[in-house]
Amino acid sequence: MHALSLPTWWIHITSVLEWVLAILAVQAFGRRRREGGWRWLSLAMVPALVSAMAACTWHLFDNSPDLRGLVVLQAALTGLGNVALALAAWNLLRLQRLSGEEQAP
Amino acid sequence: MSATLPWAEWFERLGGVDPAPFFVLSLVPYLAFLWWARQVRAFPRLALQGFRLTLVFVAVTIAAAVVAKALYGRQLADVDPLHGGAEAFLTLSNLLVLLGFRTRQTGASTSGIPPGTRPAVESPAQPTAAR
Repeated sequence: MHALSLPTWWIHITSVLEWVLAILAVQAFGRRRREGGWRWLSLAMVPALVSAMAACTWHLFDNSPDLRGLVVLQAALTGLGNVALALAAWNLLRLQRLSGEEQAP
Repeated sequence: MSATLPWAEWFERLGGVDPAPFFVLSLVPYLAFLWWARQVRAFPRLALQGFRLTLVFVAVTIAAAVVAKALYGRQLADVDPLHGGAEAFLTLSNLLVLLGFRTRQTGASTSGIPPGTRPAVESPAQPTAAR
């Protein structure tokens, strides 16, 4: 675990913790607004969390070439996570338009 | 490592795949995400700035990886100052996303009802929570 210095480890750990708290904050935000679309957004943020954990595991084992599969996993989950984020944002927009139609006279 | 377990063999083969195309392709849905999120009026602007800053993190990471290869002949993860310096942009991005969604105000209204007239209740009272 010495491929990364202590400050670099802290930068990594802080990023991951912030992401976890952001997932929870998006859920709370949706509860306050009473809109279900935000829960889907928070769920769409989970693949990126798993992706980050794969990357951190690889770092934990000194970026071992034997564990290159973790980097591929990280890359694949990044792609999957971004597709999920896009769908969640599109869904929020769809719900916004639906509620706009309801309000129209 | 003896590949006696099926998943171990699968994992070894996975390691032979080039991850670069996945990282490049993942930018397309991310740009779509930013495009749609920007049009959601209730989306906290600070959080949106954070998600945009993630693109800066990606750009800095690519630049740092090129420098690591050219100057030290190593992959980015093995050049600690460049690695940590690039990753710090993601720490900042995620902080903005977190702070953006923690805002007490609920942002612009999507339903046409002014935000101030909404009951500012954290969550509907649940019978189980009353105990």
